[in-house]
Parts: sequence; C-alpha cells; structure tokens
Amino acid sequence: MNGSAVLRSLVVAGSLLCLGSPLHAQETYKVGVSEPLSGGASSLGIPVVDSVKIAADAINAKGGVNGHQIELVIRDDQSKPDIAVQNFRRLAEEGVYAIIGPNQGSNMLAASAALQQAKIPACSFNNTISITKLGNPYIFRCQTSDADNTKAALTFARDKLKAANVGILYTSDAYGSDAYAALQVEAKAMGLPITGAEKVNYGATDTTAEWTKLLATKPAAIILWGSGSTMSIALRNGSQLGNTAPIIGSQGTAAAAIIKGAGAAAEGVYMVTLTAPDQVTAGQTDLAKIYKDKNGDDYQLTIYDTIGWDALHLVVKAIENAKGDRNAMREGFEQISKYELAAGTYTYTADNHEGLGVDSVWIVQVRDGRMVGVQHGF
Amino acid sequence: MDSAQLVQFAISGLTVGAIYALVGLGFNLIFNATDVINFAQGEFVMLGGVLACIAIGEWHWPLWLAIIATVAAVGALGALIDFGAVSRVRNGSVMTIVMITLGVSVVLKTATLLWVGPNPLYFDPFTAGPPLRVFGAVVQLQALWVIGIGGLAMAGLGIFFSRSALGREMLACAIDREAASLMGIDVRKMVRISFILSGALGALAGVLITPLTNATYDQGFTLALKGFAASALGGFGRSSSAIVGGLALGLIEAASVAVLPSGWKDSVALIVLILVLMIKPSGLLGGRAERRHTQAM
Repeated sequence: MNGSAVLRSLVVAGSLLCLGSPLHAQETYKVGVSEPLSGGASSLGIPVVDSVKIAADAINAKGGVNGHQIELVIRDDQSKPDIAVQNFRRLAEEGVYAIIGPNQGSNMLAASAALQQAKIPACSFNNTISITKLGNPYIFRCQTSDADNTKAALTFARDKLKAANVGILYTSDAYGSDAYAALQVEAKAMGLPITGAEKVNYGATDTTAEWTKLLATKPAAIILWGSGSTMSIALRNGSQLGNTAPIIGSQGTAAAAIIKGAGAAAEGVYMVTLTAPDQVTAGQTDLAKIYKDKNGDDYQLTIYDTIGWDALHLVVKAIENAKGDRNAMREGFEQISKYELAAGTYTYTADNHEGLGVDSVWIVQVRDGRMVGVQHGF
Repeated sequence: MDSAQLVQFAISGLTVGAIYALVGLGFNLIFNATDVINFAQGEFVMLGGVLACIAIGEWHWPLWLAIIATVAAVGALGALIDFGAVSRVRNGSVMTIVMITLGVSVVLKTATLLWVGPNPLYFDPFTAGPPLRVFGAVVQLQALWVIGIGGLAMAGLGIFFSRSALGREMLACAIDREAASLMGIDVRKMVRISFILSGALGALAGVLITPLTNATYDQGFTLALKGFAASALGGFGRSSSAIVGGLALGLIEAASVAVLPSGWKDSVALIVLILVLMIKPSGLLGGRAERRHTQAM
C-alpha cells in the first residue's frame, strides 16, 4: 500500500466515522456571524467570536438543537459598514437561521435594510439607542441599551454617591451624543440638575480645555461617556486638573486597555458595564468553568466572553421556539422570556427588542487597576 | 470665568499648539526639498509613539535608548521610502509623489494595526511627579518637555540650515531646485536627506507627545491634518511658521472651547485657517513665495 492509498483509506475511514455518528443524519442549522475580526473594532470582535465558538462547541457536545448540530458561518466585517452589508446579504443567501453581530452601532444601522429583506433576526451587540428604533422588526439587541446604562449611571450618582448634581463629558460620535440625549431626559425626570456638558471629538488627543470649562461649573459627580483612546486621556487630564468629584464612565471606558492607559487616574473611577470581572453570577457558572479550564484559575470573564455565548444560546432558543422553521425565527425570538444567561436575563416581545433591562447593569469600580463589582441591577 | 481658568485655557492651548508645531515642522522639511506635501508625515509621528511604547513597555529599554533608537529607525524608514518609491519617479509630477506618500501612509497604518492592534499604547511622562501650578492653573510636566525639546530641535535646524555646508545646499534646493542643480548640488541627495530628517523629526515628535496623547495606529491622520493646518496658517516653506501657526492654532482651539459650545473646536480652528488664507494666502508669516530670495528660516 503506497502513501496516497494510505491517505485515501484514512479519509474514507474518517468519513465513515462521521457518517456513523447519529447526528449526521440530520442537516446542520447554520448560524451566521458577522463581526469585526480586523480593523479598529477587532479588539472587541475577536473575543466575541471566540465566545460564540465556545458556545457552539458546548451546545453541539450536548447533542445540538432538536438533534441538529449548529454550524457557524463566520465572516469578518473589517469594522466597516459596507462590508457588514455584504456579509449580511451573503449570509442570508447561505440560508442561516440568524446572524450574530455586528459590534458597531453604525454597522448595524447600515445593514438594517439588508436584514429586513432577508427576514431573519440579528443579534446586535450595540449600546446605541437608535438601533431598535428603526422600525426594523428583525433587529434584536443582545447588549444593554444606553437608555438603561445612562439611567443606571444617574441613579447610582444620586442614590449611592449622594450627588446633588452632575457634569457630563461625552464624545461627538453617535455613541456619545445618543447617550447625552438620554442623560438629559433621564436627569430631568429624576430632578437631578446638569451643571454643564462638554463634547470632545472622538479620537481627540487632549481634553484639558473641555475639563477646565466643566470643572468651573463645580459638578458633584461627573459622567464620562465615550470609547477609545480619548477616554484614557480624559481620565488623565481630569486628574491632572485636580478633579476630586467621583467619575462614572460608560461601558466604552470599562476596557482593560483604557484603564491601563489611564494608570493612577483610573483608580476609584466607577463604570457602567455588563459584567463584574471579580464575580461569577449564576448564569455565568458554565461559561466561567470553560474559560478557567482554558486559561487558568485566575482568569476573569470579560464582557466580550459573555455576550457571544449569550447570543448563540438566544439563537438556539429561538430555533427551538420556532420548531426549526427558518421563516418563524423572528417569532421564535419574541417568545424568549426571562432567559438567564451569562450577561443577564433576556426577555423579548413583539414590542420590546431590548433583551436585557436595567436589572442586568453592573456598576464596577477600578481598584488597583482591576474592575470590582459594586452594584448589580437597578 | 476667573483668571486661573483663563490661564488654564492659555496653557492648554499652548500645550496642544506645541504638538501641532512639532508635527508641522516635518511637513516643511519635505515641502522645501520636493514641493510635495508628505501625507505620511502623520504616520512618522504615530510610528515614533508606537515604537517608543514597545521599546519602553515591552522591551524595558531605558528612555534615552528608546528615543534614540526610535528616531533612528523612523529616519531610516524615511530614507527607505525615498529610495524605494519617491526617487523612482523623480521625473513624475508633484501629484504622483503626493499619491505615493498617501499610499505609504495607508501601508504604514495598516501594518501598525496588524502588528500592535487597535488598543491605545502609552508610557509614563519623562519626569514623574504632580503637575506644576502657575497662577492657579496646571502645567503638565510633559508639556514642558514638548516645548523645550521642540524649541531645541528648531534651533538646531536653524543652525544646520544657516551654518553647515549641507544645510546651505538643502536651502539652495529649497529656493530654486534647477539653479541649485546647475550649481553642482546633488538634488537627489538633498531630497533623501530631507526624508531622513523629517522621519526623524516626526518620530521625535511622536515620542515627546505620547505621554500626553497616547499612541494609536489611526492617530497619524488627525495629527497630520493639524500639523498641516499649522504649517499653512503660518505660511508653507518656512520652519518658524510651523511654530507660530501651531501655537496660534492651539490657542484658537482653546479659546473656542472657552466661549463656544465645545463641539465646535475643530471646525473653528479650520474656519480661522480658511479666513487667514483668504486674506493672506501665503500665511501669517508669509510663505516661500515671499521669501525666495531672502532666507528660509
């Protein structure tokens, strides 16, 4: 028997082995993933996709859904809206049951029309408030809305920090501006005065002028809403200018790279996020065990480890609810009720595509460079 | 608004202005030698910051070694860009060379993203300690380094161009390339040197500003835009104009934050630039057209 013949028989044996497993008798359920694996948002997309893969392995190891294995079809949106649109179109053509992603609010807004044509649900990982206000019934938020995050931040400032008023520093992109609009509405409803609000450009490399103007209004607490490098600069600038008012940062500030870049200036800062890395909630037990087995006992789950896992479990639940009918996936999603997963408890209805509520929001505080859970749920 | 806040706005403006000035200087060097606006100038600055962060943060090099190595490496990259791309099309139009520098900037940005990822990098200021207090306002210690070393680099360039033979040859090229060539000056060599110098100067700027601004792969464009605006505001083709233009731009931005809603900062700075150029197209100090037969500094 020569080499190639050995190879051939191995291949044949391998295929027989596959055929031998009872699950192969059923066709797989395809689930699309369109996430940023390259480009500016890749530091968010890569861990999310890992988390989706871990969820798929766990689900398939338990026998899949209704006897069908889950097959992921993963595409990189390169952090660009036009590529996200292409991905959504192609994934729909390939017959996926749902699409997990994207990570950037602007990409979801861009892909919305393609999704509506395809008539399959998308699990979108955005805080951006507007994505569920488009009149598109196929967008399901698998994150907290900034409407809830801003509410949590203000409630925490008023009740726990006993702040009589707040000052706001936010970025000029949709993420910061949407949140600022929500903060204004919420603060008014709560009767909490806003002493001043300053806008910095996304990607700004200095914020001292804006801080000077904000601090002159003497706020009792400061809400910092934005993402990216500018956030660690803003934390440093505030501390250099002698700010002593407590700061509550957005989910975009609750990232290891931002906290590391801000150094001592991040100490004591509160942040609104979805996971407290030092605590394992009931919904996170299985997931935490998988990550700890892989990365060692010291490993702390990040928000990205949890949301990918949750998204695939939600899709699977929707497939079960839809009894495997691809045309009933939206209804399947809308029947998900009080489903406790790693990042919180999800409920969708025909009128509510938000999934998580303010009960899932964590406030964490930076202590010795690490995030420590302070309050869960509002 | 009390006096401490006014001083604080002025100091913020000067700090940011010093950064713009330093970036603007590099634009001028290559513009003088080639008539080309080097779109990769911002990437030189970004690379300076990123390389220094890696040398200090990951390889634990001492600060002085990291600075020298970074400046040398990006200077060498400048030479490579001229050798590999720009000198190959020396007979091409200015536009061709501009497009090459644009291409180079995209390549550098993408390569940096693939290498270090999208997260911001950072290292501590050169001198540790709390910021200085001046009339109730705060001066970041690193800002003094930016202004001090930036000033030294300016003075060094001034002496180089006015005293050394090589500097004078470069100046001759800047004033009139054809005449310089006819006088036996090796214009190609001068262009190569200007790429090396502007790479080195860009990297120096990057190292100096990173403790203030962080270093991210996509920072080059914004920095280049501001540096370019600083040069244009002061008047292209003159090194001192980048300093004046940069500081003016920084102060305008800070002043606009003080009196207008803060989101207007960038627009106000560029509107002022347009106005100045409409009234005095050669910039505040007068650019090359007015200086051809006087001197370049």
